[in-house]
Amino acid sequence: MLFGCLISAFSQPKSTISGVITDNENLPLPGVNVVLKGTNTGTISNIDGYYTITVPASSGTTLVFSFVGYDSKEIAVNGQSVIDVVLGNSSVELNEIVKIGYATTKRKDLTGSVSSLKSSDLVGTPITDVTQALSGKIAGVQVIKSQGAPDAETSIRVRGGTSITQNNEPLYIIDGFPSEDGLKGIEATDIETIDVLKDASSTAIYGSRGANGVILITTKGGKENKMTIDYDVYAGLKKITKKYDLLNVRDFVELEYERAINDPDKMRTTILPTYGEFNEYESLYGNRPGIDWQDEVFNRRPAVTQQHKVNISGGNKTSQYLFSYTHNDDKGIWYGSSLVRDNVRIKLNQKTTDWMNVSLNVNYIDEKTQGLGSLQDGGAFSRMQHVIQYRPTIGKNGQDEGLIINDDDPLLLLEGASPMQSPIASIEGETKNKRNRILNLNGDVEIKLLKNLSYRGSLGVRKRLYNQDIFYSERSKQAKNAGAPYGWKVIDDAESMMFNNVLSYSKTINSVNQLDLIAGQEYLFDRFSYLKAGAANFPDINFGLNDMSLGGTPEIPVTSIAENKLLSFFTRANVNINQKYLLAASIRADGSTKFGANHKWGYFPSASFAWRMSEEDFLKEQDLLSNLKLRLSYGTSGNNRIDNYLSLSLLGTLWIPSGNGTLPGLGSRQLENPDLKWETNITGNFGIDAGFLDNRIQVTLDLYNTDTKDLLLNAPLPLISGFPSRMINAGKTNNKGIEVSITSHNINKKNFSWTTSLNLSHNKNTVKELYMSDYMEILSNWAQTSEFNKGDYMIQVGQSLGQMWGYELEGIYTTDDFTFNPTKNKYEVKEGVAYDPSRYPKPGFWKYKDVKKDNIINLEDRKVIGNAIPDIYGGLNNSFAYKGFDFSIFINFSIGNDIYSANKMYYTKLNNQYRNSLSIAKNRYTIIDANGNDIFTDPVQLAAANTNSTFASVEGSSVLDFHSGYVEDGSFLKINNISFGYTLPKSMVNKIHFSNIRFYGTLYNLYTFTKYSGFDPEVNTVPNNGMTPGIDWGAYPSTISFILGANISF
Amino acid sequence: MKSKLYLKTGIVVIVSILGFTCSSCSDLLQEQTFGYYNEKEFFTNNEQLSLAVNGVYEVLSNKMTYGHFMLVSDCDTDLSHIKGAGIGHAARDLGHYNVYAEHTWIQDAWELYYKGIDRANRILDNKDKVVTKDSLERKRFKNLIAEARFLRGLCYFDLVRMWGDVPLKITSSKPHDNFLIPRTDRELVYDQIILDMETSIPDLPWHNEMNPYLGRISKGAAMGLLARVYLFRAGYSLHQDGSMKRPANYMDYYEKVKEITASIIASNKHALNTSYEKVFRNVCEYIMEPKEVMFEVQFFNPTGKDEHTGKIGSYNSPEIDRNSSFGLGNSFIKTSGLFWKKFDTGDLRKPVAIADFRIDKTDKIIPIGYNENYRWAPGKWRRNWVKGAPKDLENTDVNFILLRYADVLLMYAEAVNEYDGTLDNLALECLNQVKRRAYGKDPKTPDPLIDLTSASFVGGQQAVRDYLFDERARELCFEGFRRSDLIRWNLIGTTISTFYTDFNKEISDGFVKTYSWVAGTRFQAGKHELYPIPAVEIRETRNVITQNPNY
Repeated sequence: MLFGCLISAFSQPKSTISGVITDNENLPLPGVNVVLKGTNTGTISNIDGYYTITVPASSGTTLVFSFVGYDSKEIAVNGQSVIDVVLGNSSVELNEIVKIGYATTKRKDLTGSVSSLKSSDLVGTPITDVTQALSGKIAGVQVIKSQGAPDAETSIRVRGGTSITQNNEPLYIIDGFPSEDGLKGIEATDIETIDVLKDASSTAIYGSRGANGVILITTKGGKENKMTIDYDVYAGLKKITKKYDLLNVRDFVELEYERAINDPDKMRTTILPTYGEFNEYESLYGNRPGIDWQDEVFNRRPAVTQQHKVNISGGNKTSQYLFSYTHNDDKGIWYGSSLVRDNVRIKLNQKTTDWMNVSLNVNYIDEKTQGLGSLQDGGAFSRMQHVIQYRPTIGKNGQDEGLIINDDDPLLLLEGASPMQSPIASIEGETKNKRNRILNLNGDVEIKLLKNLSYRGSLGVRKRLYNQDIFYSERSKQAKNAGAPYGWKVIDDAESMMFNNVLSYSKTINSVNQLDLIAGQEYLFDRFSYLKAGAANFPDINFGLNDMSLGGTPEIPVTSIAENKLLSFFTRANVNINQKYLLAASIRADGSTKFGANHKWGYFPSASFAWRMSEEDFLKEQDLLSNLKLRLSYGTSGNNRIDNYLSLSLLGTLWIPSGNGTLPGLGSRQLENPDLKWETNITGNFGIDAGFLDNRIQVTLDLYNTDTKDLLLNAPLPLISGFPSRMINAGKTNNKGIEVSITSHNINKKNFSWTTSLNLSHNKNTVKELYMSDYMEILSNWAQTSEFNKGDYMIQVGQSLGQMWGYELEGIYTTDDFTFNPTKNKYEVKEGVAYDPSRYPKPGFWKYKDVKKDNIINLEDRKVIGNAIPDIYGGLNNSFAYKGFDFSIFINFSIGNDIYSANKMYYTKLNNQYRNSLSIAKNRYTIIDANGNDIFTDPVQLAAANTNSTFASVEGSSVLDFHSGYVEDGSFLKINNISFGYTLPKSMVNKIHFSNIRFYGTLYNLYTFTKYSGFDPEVNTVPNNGMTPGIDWGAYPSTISFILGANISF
Repeated sequence: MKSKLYLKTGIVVIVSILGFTCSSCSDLLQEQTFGYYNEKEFFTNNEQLSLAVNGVYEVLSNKMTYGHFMLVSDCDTDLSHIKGAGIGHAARDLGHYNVYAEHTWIQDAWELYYKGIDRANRILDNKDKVVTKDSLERKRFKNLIAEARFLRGLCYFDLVRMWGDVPLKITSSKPHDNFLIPRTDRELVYDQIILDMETSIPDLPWHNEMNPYLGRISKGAAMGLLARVYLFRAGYSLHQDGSMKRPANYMDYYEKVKEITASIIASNKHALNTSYEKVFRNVCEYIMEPKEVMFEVQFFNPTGKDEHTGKIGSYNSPEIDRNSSFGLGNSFIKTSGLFWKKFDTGDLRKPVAIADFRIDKTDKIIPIGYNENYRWAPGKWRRNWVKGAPKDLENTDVNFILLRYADVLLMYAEAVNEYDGTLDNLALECLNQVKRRAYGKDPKTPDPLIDLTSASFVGGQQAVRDYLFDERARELCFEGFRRSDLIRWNLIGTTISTFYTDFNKEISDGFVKTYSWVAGTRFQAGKHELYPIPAVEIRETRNVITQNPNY
C-alpha cells in the first residue's frame, strides 16, 4: 500500500492540503481519518486536530473525514490548500465507544446502564484529583468529599451504595487492571475515558466485585501520527472560603470569668490575675484584636499550587508510543501541609504482525504528603479544635503575640492533663509525612486466531509502597505529655498480580445481524504486608526517625501479612438482530479465598434487552425524534469487600506483662463462620435513551430497583460469647432510584457553540432486614471521650441509612420551669415539666422534647433528627465556544441532606476552661449580671438577664448530648468551577512553529449557596464505612482557588 | 496458513499456561494465614498451651478490668470518692452512683471477663489434644490447666460480685452456638467458681517453687482467693426482687473460709513484711514479694503506651504536678478527714495510706490543710514513689494488688468470729500480727502494750465486727474491696448515709470548706449494690438476659 502511494505521488502533479479538525465545541479532534475518496491514500490528524495530506491536483478530488463516533464529512478540495473541518457530533454519543468490561461496544448497541465521560469533558479544568472530575458529572454517581485537604479521602457511591457495614466503593479498573487504591495514582489529564457501569447486568461480568458499580478508566495512548510534544502548565493560589465566627476577645474574657464564678479559688488565683477585674474588661479588651488563629494557620503563607506536564507521543501504523511526566506541587492552606506528586507513564503498542498486537503500559507514581490534616490518630483528636478554641488573648499582662511563638501557654500549664497548645507550635513540633509509591506494569497480547476469533491475554503486576513517618519533637504537646519526644514509622507494602485470557468471537450475519461472544478466565492475587516500628524517650536533641536508635525505649514492633486470591471464569453473548433488537447475557463464576469453606464459589448471571425503536419504520418518518431506545436488564452481582481470614477460627498473638517485662501469648481473634459468603445484588433496570432534533437534545432516563441480600454484617454477638461481633451474611436492603441526564447542543454554529448538560439523581434506600433485631444503634465515635458514649446514628428496618439519632431540642429550661426553693437554695422542677432525673436540670440547660410523654427525659426520648442522604443530587454544566475562546461554568448541587455538626457541639462546650467558643454562645443563658455578680440564685434577676438567651448556659452546654440543635440542613448549590480559555489562531501559532497554544484560567469553588454554618457542606469526616455519614468534626477548610495555565504543543 | 494457525495457537497456549501455573494449585482457594494459628491445628504441646494460658491472664492486665475500672469501682465509700461533683463523665458516673446500662466501662469490663472465660474454656475444651512426653511435662501441663481453670473462676467471681446472677458458660463458643443463655442463679455460679478453684489448687505450685516468680497464680494465692470467694458467698448480695439476701447455709461458707485461711497460715509460706510502708514502696518500685503480696495483676508496657498499662499510681496517687519530675499524679480518687480520723496516733499506716499534701512542679511537697481534706488522696501508690522516669504522663507499670497476706489474716479472724461467735487464739494472733506491724512492731513478736485479747472486745461478736469494719479499712483501704465488703456486710446504705451526714456536719461546723459529696444523694439502696447488665447484652440476647433491679 505504501508502495502504491509512492508510485502515485511520483506519477501525478500534487498539492498539499492542511487544516485543523475540531468538534462542535471547538476542541481539536485527534485521530481523525482523512482519506482521499476512493483511494487508500490517507492520514490521521494529530493531537491538535492538525492534518496535512498530499493529494493529486486534479479537479473532483474529495476528502473524507471520519472518526469513530462522529458523522463523516466529505469535502471537495476545489483548489483549497487549507481546509478546516468541524466534525458534527450530532450523533456522537450514539457511536461512541463504550467499555463494558473485557470488551467494548458502541453506545447505540448498549443494553445496560453505562455512563461515560470523555477526555473532552475533562479538558479545560485542571484538577489534581480525578474524583473531582466525576463530581456532579454523571447521573447516579455521588462524589462525597470527606473534607477540603489536598489529600482528603473521597468516596464515590454508585446508586447510593447497597451495603450497610461494608465498603461501598465501586470497583476501579484502570486499563483493564483493578486498582486497590481507587483513583489514586492516575492523573486526570492522562484519562481518555471514564465509563461507569451502574446496573447489575453491566457489572455482573465483574461478579463478586461488581455490586457497587464499576468505574472503568482508559488512559490515553500514542496515536498514529508524527511526534507531538505537549507541555501543560498551570499555577494557582488558594484561599480559605470562610471562617468560623468566634467570640471576640472581650466576650471570650467574659466567658472565662463566668466559667469561674462558682470556683472562687480559680477566680482568685487564676482568672482575675490573668484577665483583670470584670469592670476593666471593656477598657482592656473592647478594642483588642487578639489572635485570629484561623488567620494565623490558614493565611500564614500563600498556598500555591502548580503542575507541569510533558507529554511526548506519536507513532505509525504499526507502533505507537506515549511518554509523559507530570509534576504536581500543591501547598495546602493549612500551615505546614503540602502534597507533591510525580508521575511517569509509558504506553507502547506494537503490531508485530498482521495477526498479533502487543502492548505495554507502565505507570509510576510517587506522592508525598507533608503535614497533618485537621484530624489525626484515627480522627479522634481534632487539631482544628486548637485552631478554633485556643485562647485569643494572653490576658492583661503581656502581648497576645506571645501566644503564637511560645510552645507552652503559661496559663494552661496550670491545668491537669492534655492542655491545648498554640496551633503554630504544634504544627512546627510535629512531623507527619506520608509517601505513597505505586508502580503498575501491565501488558497484553492480542492474536487474531481465525477470521472471527481472537484471543487476548493480559498480565499485570502492581506494587504499592506506603510509608508513614510520625514524630513528635520536644516542642509538641504530645512529647510534653509523654515526657520526651517519640515517633514511629509505618511501611505498608502491597502487591497484586492479575492474569486473564479472553477469547472473542464476532460474526456479522446478513450484514444486519451481529453476534459477539466472549469467554474468559481471570486470576487475581493480592498480598499485603505491614510493619510498624517506633521508639519513645528520645533526647531533646535528636534526628527524629532518621536515627531511631536514639529513642531510649523501643516500641514493640508490629508486623502482619495477608493474602487473598480470586479465580474466575466468565462468558457473555451479545446479539444484535436487524439493528433493532439487542440481547445480551453473561455469567461469571468467582472463587475466592476470603469466604467460608462452604461457600467458595459464587455465580453471577445477567440478561438484558434493548429495542432501538427509532430504527422501526413507523418512527423513521418524522424529524422530532432522532433516536429512541428502550433498555431492560436484570442481573446479579456481588460485594466481596471484607478483610481476609474472617471465616476461620484463628488464634492471634498478644503479649502480657510479666514481672517487669513481657511474655507472648495467644488469644482467639474471632469466631469462625464457615458459611461466610459475598453480598448479592439483584438489580432490575429500565432505561430510555432518546435523541431529539437530529440528536441535538439527548435524554437518558434510568429507573432501577436493587435488592441486596446476604449483607456482610459485623453482627454484634452477645458478649458472653467472648466475641463482640462476628462477620455474617444477614439482612437486606433495597435501593430504588431514578436518574436523568440531558445534553443539549443549544447552538451549534461554526463560530459559536453552546452546550448544556444536566444530570439529576434520586435514590431511595431502605433497610429491609437486619440481624436478630429491627434496629442497630451506631456510635459514630467522632469524639473518643468517655463523655460521649451513646449511639448517635440509627439503622432501622423500613428506613434509610444515614439516620441521625438524638434528642429533639425544644429550647432551654428557664426560670419559668422551676420553683426556686430558698431554703435549699435550689431550683425545683415544676410539676409537669419533663426532665432527666439522672441529670437534674437548672435554668439554662438544654431542654429536650419528651417524646414518650412520661415527664421523664431519658435515652428512650431520642428520635430521628436528621438524615445525611440527599433526596436529589446532580450537576449542571454549560460550555460555550466562540472562535478561539471557550468558557464553561459548572454547578453541582445536593438537596435534602443533613449535616451533623460535631464542631458546633464541641466548640461550644463552654465549661472547657481557657477555650474560646463559637460566637453563637454569646447569646448563652448567663448567670451573671452586667456587673459580673452571680445572680443565679435570684430568680427574678436571672429571668431578666436572660430574656433573649438562645444558647445553653456554661454548665448546660457542658453535657455532650447529640440533639437537633447540632443538625443543620446540608443542601447546597455550588459554583464548582468557572473556566475560561483562549486558543491562539492556528495561523499565528504555526508561524512560530507551534501546533497549538491555549491559555486558560479556572476559578474553583467560587461560591456555595447553603444554609450550613461550617466551612463546607461537602463533608464526611467520620464515615465508618458509610454507617455514620455527614459528620463534620474538625474538617479541613475548603478553599477557593484560582488557576492560570497554558497548553502548548509543538 | 496452517502453520501460522499452529504458531498462533502455540502462543496462546504458552501465554495462558503461564497464567494457569500461577492459578491452578489444588488448594488455591484455601486461605493461607500468616501470623495466626488455626485453632484446629493448635494445642498440641505444652508450649502452645502456655501461650494460650497467657491469653487468659491478658484480660486482667487491662485498664477496663484491673488497671482503671477496678480503682473507680471501689468508689464512692466512706474511704474514697471520685473527685468532683459533676456527672456526665465516665469515671464520675461510675463512682458517683450515676451508673446506667449504657456505661461503656461497665460494658468493657463485662466483655473482657467473658473474653477471658472463653479463652479459658477453649483451653479446657482442647486440653486433651496436648501431648506430654514425660512426667515433668505432665506436671507442667497440669499446672497450666490449673492456671486456666483458676482464672476462669476468678473472672466469674468478679462477674458474680459486681452483677449478681450471670450467664454461666463453661464451653468455648462454637460457630453455630445459640448465645441466648439466660442468667444463672448466683449459687450455681459460685458452685462452678469453687469447683474450678478447688480443682486447680492441687496442681498449682507455691510461690517459692516458681523460679523465677513472675506474678503467676500460686497455690497460696489461689487458696486465699478461694477463701475470699467463700467469704463473699457467705455475705449479702442484691437479688432480682430488690432485697439483700444471703444463702441459708451461709455458715458453711464461713467455715470454709476459716478452714482455708487456717491452712494458708499453717503452711508458713506467707508472712507480713515488717514495714507497712515498704509493702507499697515495693509495689511502686516493681519489686514483687509474694510472701505478703500474694497475687498482683501485672501491668507493664515498654513505652508507657495504653496497652497493658494501668493508672495505678497516677489516678489514685496524691496530686502531683504534670511538670514535676515524677509525671502526673492525676489524683482523681480522693479520701477525706473522716477516714483519717479512723486511725489512732501511732498507727503508722495513716501517713502511708493518706497523702495530705500535693507536689508542685518543682517537686516540692505542699501540705493540704484539713479544711480541704476532700483533696487528700490515697497515698499507697504515689507517683513520686514509682521507680524510673515517667514513660507516660498518666500510664504506669504499677501492678494491682489483688491479695495480701494481711487480708488472709483478717479473713480468718472474721470467719472465726462469724462461725464460732467469738475469736480463738489464732484469730487474735492474726489481728495482732496486723496491728503490731501497723505500730511498727515485729508482726510475730507478742507485744502486751498493743496486743488485743479477747477482753478487748467487750461487746463480743458485734464488737469484733465493729473492729473489723474499721481495721479492714485501715489495713486494706483503696485496695479495691471496700465497696464490696460493705455490700456483703449489707452495710453500704447506712455507711454512705452516715458518712454523708458526718461529712456535711464538718462543713456546717466550719472545719471543712464547702464540697459536694454527691454519693450521699445519689446512692440508691436496692439498686447500686449491683451494676447494670450492659444494655447491648440485653438487646443482643433479645431480653433473654434480664436487667438488674431498678436499672
